[in-house]
Amino acid sequence: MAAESDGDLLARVRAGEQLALQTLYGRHHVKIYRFALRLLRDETAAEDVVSEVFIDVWRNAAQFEGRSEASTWLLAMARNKAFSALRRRKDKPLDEEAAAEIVDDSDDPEVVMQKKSKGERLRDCLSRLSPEHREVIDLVYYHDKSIEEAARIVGVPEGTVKTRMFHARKRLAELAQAAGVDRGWP
Amino acid sequence: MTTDPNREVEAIEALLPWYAAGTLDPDDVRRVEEALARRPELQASLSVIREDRDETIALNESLGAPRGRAWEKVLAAVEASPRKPSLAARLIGLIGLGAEPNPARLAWVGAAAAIVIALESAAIVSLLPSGGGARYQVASETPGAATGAFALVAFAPGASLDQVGQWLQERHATIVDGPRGGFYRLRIGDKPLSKSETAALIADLAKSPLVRAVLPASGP
Repeated sequence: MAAESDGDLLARVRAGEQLALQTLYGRHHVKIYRFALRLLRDETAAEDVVSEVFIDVWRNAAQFEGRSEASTWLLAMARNKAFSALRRRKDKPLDEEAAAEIVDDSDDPEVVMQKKSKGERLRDCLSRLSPEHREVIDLVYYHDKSIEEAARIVGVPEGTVKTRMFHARKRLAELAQAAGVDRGWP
Repeated sequence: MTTDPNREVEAIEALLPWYAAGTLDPDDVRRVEEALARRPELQASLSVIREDRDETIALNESLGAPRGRAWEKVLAAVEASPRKPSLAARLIGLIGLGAEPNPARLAWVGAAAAIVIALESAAIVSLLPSGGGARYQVASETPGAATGAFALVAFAPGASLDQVGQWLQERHATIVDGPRGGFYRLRIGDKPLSKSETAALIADLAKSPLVRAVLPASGP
């Protein structure tokens, strides 16, 4: 039997079916959690975002217009909630500048570089991007969002998404080069 | 018409991440492939992008999954504001007619759906610890029942008693609680699992056609 589409599940949620909400949750909660966790860097706060998104789905399923994929709608809600949580934080979020100031003095940089594989170093660099750059990289590379979908989630024009992605890649290349991964771009 | 070659390269360069991800529309795919054939420097950018994409996926996949508390919070909010589903909506859900059912089919489907509900409920309830028909050891009777990995599982409509019983036996699983909101709490194995092992187990459970949804859960 073919799996029910997300649109069909949302139609059932609109009609008040808890089981449809549970199925939708089962399908999407992990990716929403990871998206929120990458922005917030806090597991409990990311879990709260997941809960709030699906509570909103239960209450406001009628707002889904079907013009985009359900996952795009869910990620847009998660994004808004994650950025609201970032703004609410009294402590400064660990952004790229703050992260760059953290010095691991257990080894000198050359030894650290030798100990870590190229992949590990690139993943470190991905974690050190600003929230705006992390989200666009994740949306395109991990969540497989098109230009139009990414623009809808972030709430900016498509041209801005392309420009932001370009700058995110450029910043990633700079961080990678500083970490000893020089790939000749940009 | 004149075209600035540098601007054209910049425009193609901006599209490469979506080309690498396979999410570009067909017209842009054609533009990118024509440019890649003419300009080797774009191939180098594409290689870097593919490397970045692979590491982004690896990083995200390492992040695990939310704990059961995330769903419990949703469930508490839902149960605090229940909405009574219409009969039509329940039938749509049960038989997968989609958002726009054919009304002419609902009459005979209603009777069939009611039978499915009754059979499914009887089958699953008989597997519970309190049911007399269980053919496997229940968790409450097992030494060390509080340990092991736990998951919340909703079985697919129409899953038979024999199928669910065999599925549980194959996975050394026992139903320890439920149904609550359509989910049964299962204990799987007798060893606690790490977060990544639990995520892998849940992904494996979700592959079964007998399972409608799986969520991580804490022990009883």
